[in-house]
Amino acid sequence: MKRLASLCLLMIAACSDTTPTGTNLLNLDRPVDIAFACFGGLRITNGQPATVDQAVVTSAQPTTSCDKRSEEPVDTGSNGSNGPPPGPPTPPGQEQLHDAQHPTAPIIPDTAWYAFILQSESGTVAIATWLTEPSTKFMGGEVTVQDANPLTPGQNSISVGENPVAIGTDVTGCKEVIANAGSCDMSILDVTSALTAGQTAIVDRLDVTTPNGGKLRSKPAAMQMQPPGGTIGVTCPAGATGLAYVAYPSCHAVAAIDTATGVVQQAITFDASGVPTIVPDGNISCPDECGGEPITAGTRPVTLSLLFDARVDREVLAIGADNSNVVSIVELDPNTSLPLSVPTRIALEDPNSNLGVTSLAVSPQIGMGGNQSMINDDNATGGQSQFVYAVATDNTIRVADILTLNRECDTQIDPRYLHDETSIKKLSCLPLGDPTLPRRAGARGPGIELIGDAIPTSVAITQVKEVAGDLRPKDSPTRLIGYFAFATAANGATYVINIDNDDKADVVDPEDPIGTQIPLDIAHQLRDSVLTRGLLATELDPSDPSGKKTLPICDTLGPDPDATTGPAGGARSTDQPGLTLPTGTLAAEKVVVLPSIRQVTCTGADEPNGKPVAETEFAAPVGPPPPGQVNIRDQVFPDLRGLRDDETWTFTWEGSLSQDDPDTAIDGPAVRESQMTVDSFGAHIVDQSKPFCDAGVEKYDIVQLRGCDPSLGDADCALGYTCFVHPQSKVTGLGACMLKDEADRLSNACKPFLTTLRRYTVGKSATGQLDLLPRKHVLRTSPVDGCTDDAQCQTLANYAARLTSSLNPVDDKTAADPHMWSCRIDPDRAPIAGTGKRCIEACSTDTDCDDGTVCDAGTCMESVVPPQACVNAAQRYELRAGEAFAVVGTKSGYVHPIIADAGGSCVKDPAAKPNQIGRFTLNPPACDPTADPGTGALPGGGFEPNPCFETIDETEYQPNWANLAGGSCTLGSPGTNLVMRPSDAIKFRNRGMTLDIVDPTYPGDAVCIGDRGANLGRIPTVPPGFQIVFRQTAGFSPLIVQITPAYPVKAVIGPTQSVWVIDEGDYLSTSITTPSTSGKVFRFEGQSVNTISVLQ
Amino acid sequence: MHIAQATVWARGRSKRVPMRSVILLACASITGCTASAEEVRPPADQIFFPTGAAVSPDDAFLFVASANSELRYDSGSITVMDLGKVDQISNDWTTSQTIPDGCSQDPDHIETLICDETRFIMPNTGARVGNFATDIAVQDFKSGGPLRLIVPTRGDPSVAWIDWDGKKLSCNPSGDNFALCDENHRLAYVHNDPDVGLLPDEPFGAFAGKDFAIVTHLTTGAVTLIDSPPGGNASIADVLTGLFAADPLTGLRGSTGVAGRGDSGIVYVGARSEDRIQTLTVGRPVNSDIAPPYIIPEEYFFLDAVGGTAGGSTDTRGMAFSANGDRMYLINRRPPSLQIYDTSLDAGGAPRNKGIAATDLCREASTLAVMDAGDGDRAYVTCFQDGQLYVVDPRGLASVEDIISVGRGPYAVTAAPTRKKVYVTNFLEDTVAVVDVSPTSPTHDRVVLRIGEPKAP
Repeated sequence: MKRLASLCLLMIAACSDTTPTGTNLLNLDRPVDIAFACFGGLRITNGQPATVDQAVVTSAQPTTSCDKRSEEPVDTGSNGSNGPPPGPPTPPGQEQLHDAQHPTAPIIPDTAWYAFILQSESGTVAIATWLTEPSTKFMGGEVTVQDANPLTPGQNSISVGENPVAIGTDVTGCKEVIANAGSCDMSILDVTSALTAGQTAIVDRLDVTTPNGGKLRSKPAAMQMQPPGGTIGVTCPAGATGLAYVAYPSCHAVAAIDTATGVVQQAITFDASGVPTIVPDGNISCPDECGGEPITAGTRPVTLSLLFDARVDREVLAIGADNSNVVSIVELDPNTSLPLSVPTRIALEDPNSNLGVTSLAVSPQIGMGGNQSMINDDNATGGQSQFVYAVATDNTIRVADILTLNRECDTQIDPRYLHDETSIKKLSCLPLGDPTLPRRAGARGPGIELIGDAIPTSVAITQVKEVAGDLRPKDSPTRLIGYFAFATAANGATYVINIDNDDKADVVDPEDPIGTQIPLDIAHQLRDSVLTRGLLATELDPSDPSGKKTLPICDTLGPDPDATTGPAGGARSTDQPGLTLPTGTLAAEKVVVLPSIRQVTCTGADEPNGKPVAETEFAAPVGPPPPGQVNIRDQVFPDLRGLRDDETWTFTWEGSLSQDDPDTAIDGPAVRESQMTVDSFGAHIVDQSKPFCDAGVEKYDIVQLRGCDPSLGDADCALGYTCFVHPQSKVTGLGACMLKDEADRLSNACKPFLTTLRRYTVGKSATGQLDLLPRKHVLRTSPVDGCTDDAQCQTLANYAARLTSSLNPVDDKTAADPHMWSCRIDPDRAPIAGTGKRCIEACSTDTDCDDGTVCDAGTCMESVVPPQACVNAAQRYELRAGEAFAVVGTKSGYVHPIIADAGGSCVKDPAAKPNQIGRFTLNPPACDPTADPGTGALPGGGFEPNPCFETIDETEYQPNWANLAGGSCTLGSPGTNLVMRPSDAIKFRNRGMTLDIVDPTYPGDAVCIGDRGANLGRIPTVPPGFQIVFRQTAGFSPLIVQITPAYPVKAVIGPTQSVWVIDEGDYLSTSITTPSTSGKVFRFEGQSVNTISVLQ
Repeated sequence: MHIAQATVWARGRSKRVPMRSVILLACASITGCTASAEEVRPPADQIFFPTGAAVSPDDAFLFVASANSELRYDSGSITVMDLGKVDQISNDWTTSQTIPDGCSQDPDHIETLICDETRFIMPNTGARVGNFATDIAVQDFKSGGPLRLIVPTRGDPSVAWIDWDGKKLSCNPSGDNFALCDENHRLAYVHNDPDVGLLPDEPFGAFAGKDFAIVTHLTTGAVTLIDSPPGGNASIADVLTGLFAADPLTGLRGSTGVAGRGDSGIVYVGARSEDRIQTLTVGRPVNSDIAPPYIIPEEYFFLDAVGGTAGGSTDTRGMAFSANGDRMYLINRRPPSLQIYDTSLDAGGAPRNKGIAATDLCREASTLAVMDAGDGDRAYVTCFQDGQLYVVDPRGLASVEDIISVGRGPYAVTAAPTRKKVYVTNFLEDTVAVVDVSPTSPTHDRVVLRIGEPKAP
């Protein structure tokens, strides 16, 4: 036995030296793992009843001893009886017998918990301690780091080995077992020596050998210990006790090692195809990695999870490999912990054949379902389940049932398809590949996705019991009752995942559809952090003597979305959606002619006659619907998880496909830069980085060249180029970068290019190239069903001209449009319905055309094919939706189904979900009345179009023109009427919303604004850049534990089901009050996740 | 008619007033006057404050930049080492413990042989450059022709371009041995015209593509394009500024790491001052023999997969791609981490640029090299402060596989895949550590040879 010198001593909890370690003293050095031990006074009973003369020692002891002492006190004296006062439970035989009658009986010193924190780079173990108390007593800050060597300055640790990767406590609690990757062996740390004052910590090295005598010299990657056992009251044995399961990736094996001898008892090996086999005699052969022997390809087990579930007497070991999608479940003998069989191999979905698993956690057997605020494993309505959670290399957390189904569960089913599902059993592990249960659009796979680009690093599962007298509201995000997973991520966040939330409904409650949405209810969903999800627009009924009855109200926008207490309530818009008009395109009085989000009637105590509210607003009806109506907000926001926490949505007519600013990178730069080439086939935008399919560019979209801004001098241009503005250009602020030496020379040759708007149509979209077509100038009010003749176009041009006038038509003297408009087919734009023709500006010379357009072969053009020399500089440009609204969220970005085909052309992904879309035109195909209103699914299969055209009731205030028939625009009394009218509308579904946009076109007014009497047809009035805007709040916001690790690598479940997050990362502080650290350890309780101890 | 200016980028091209150019030109001339003093001429067979290092594409030669950081000499240098000879001596040492004359066993690290650099530096091959060279980028024209070295130097500031014909570095038409690069090979002005613009201060990292090179600038955030066509002269073609936001605490901007994704033409640039990776391509005007190429800023992405709750992931340093371009490895100092990005191409042919793994690192990591020595890619990261080389296994979630003590002040690291070795310049001790990284070698991940006698602290 090799005894390491110069390491030592520690106080015990009974000692007075309990000075807490201040948070500004740095003790840890990149921790990677943690194990727990119980140490303190122990009566040596050797399993016999306690007597006063038995010896008492201060010693390590089974962790079950501290488990018992950490239980809630039991009040054995009830209601005035003379029973003993409540106190901490004591393990049998360890009662304090010293009293007045037995003054000579030895006093048993206090016992405390200890954490052994493994530090990989330094090869050391740091020690922390805290009292044995129930988790409900935990207030944060109780855990303190101890000094292993008081004679050396600073808080010292114990050297244990080279590049240790895992630590675990043996069965008896007397030894810490460490797996060393640097030396391909194990270290055994004697707990008593490490924690006893005045003693030197004893660390023994243990070679791993096979029964036939060979040394196993492979590098370990993970280790799991046989569950704790041992008898409390027995002296610690000389060596370690029990098995350690160690994963050896380069040996393609997991070995069950007797920690007393280092001999492999049995092993699980993986063959070339990844199939596991139990090696009963333990004789496996591994390359001597530490000796430089070559390794072979094969399955690389790198993560283990071992769980003994005493309730059902089942013990399993899960094995994951970083180069295999298969999780192997090994049944272990609950008595010996040796392998019995490998009955289950869960093949996780792996379409690209490159999936691996890097972290695992096995849950206990759980009784699924129940909302009675108590754990109900034995009588759960959803039956029994047991899960394995696997952090996979696709950056999701995969889930599989390993009890009865033995398959992966799909956690990404679109909630629209689960709204009416009431089988808790089914919801506990939804199947993969069921065509009736498709995944939500954009899901990376069946696994749980963290928010954004978070990379999960570890997962741990814990049971959280109810807290007696818990005063937190039942829907409080931090009130956990049931089973939960905690997932750490590389971005420092620790997420909470509901497995079986026994505090909440397990299915959608028709009485509370907003508060019981599927992502809030079912298993394997990130836990939400938003308060009072089911909040309704109501107020207390003053006539109700009970003070409980409520009445609906309308004049409310819901809780303040910017409240310091955080968001509350269900998803909604924070206000009535707004309309943004480019300057000079429409008189403010005529916004009625524009499309808008549908309004519905809200009738409430404050609005007994009703008022219109947008269907996205808080006051839109929810809850049990009146007959003939629907839950509006439940229908508008059908997938909470499909909504980001808070973002602004813009529907922009011919809007940019990206709204990225310098602080966001969702869709790529809003203004891109590429080269432009011109050849005999026309003009092209060419980009080596091939961004166009990813950007969602479609044929007939718009490329708006942005040139350079002359107000910035030449700053927009490369060195040697100048920002040139043609003297005859009437387009404000649009220069072109041209070689300084050539600008003047090319002025004439480039004039048509330099004087146009430079707005092109995409003739063909490919990954790295856009073919540009010069764009004809089309009348904004050209009918969506096509024009019939030039006269109609001229009429509509005049109508367009009058849109900027604030006067009623009867009073409007706006001059007729002076330009010529011709009703023709434009082959360079998307085909339209009806006649297929558009009103196109005609000309004989440039002067016939609007500013920014030039006359080319009788047509006014917004752009031309320029000579190459005009465009040799890099071209700045925007990509815009052609004749469509671009739907862009500030966090979701522009969602589209465009991919590249085999030839590199941008095409619609045939496998895209119907709601994977981010644009709509003014005249989409008709909706199908037989379609499911929630999903759009058709009875015979397939889906109705999305977007689609419908007729829907719109509620609005309309002017009460008193004498319309008489041709005057005098308002009657009242000045407006609340009207519900059938309206043309576009139903638009995306991942998180189903919206109705009413009035996509307008028939024109005859006499007064809003009278709709002109009968012009379905006339679009939207100018380019017109926006419908609303801020959507209270989308999904995950509960994140309030800790701030730099790089958390592991979550571990500790005593009393506490959660420990190991932060390996350095934190380089820029504050004089916060020290830089080399890793931290955080502890919190499931019962109070924001009560935290920080070790650093 | 008005077109709104949607962009809020403050991007621009760096240009300076001619007068400043004149002043600095004069200063440069004065500096040049001292270059002829024989007593301050640097030794051709030694390395002194080595910084940049690069291996030739055929793994035959190691180019080492000596920064002359003490200003003991009138210039820095680029020396060429014969890696065949390095292999021969290191292999003899590791297989039979042979200690050649002039070499000795490292008393502190008995697995290491120490040899004076003279025996490895190829005589009459080097060249002299400005002081404070920071990096070497090797431009491989891939036509069987010569290589070209792009060497940023902070002292002037300038960027030297030096051709290598397999026998000699050439940057001065005089043909003298160990000549100082002449003005044509010291690029300090855009289009070689002081009136157009000056090279920004603090050139830092360099990457060379097939016909261009990109140089970053540590204190301005500018990025410089060097037009370097095969067979033609190199020149500064464009300077782009404003790519990166300023550090909110210091107000400084800095572009740092730079790497190219294979032959795609896409160059990735990291920042000292924010958590952004900007991609660039180079545009070449069509049918024009007078229009210079220019930098085209492409997509960018943020390093928000690591360190989000601890203050962001800023101060990027070294960047490198796997051989097939599907992975980008990136060093960040805050938090100290090696981050791995999936840069494989999606169906549209664009890099995915998604963070997939990371691991904790030493605090002052500088540069990295990536190599597959037979057991998959490994990232080798120099830790200047700790004198260590971290070896990171990128599999799974990535993990530190080994930590190797390599010497004082390790800065640059470069790899020779066919030789299964990496080479680390130790700035503070004037050595190059040769690390055996063959996974089947008994001296795997050990410094088997130290080129140069370690200078006393």
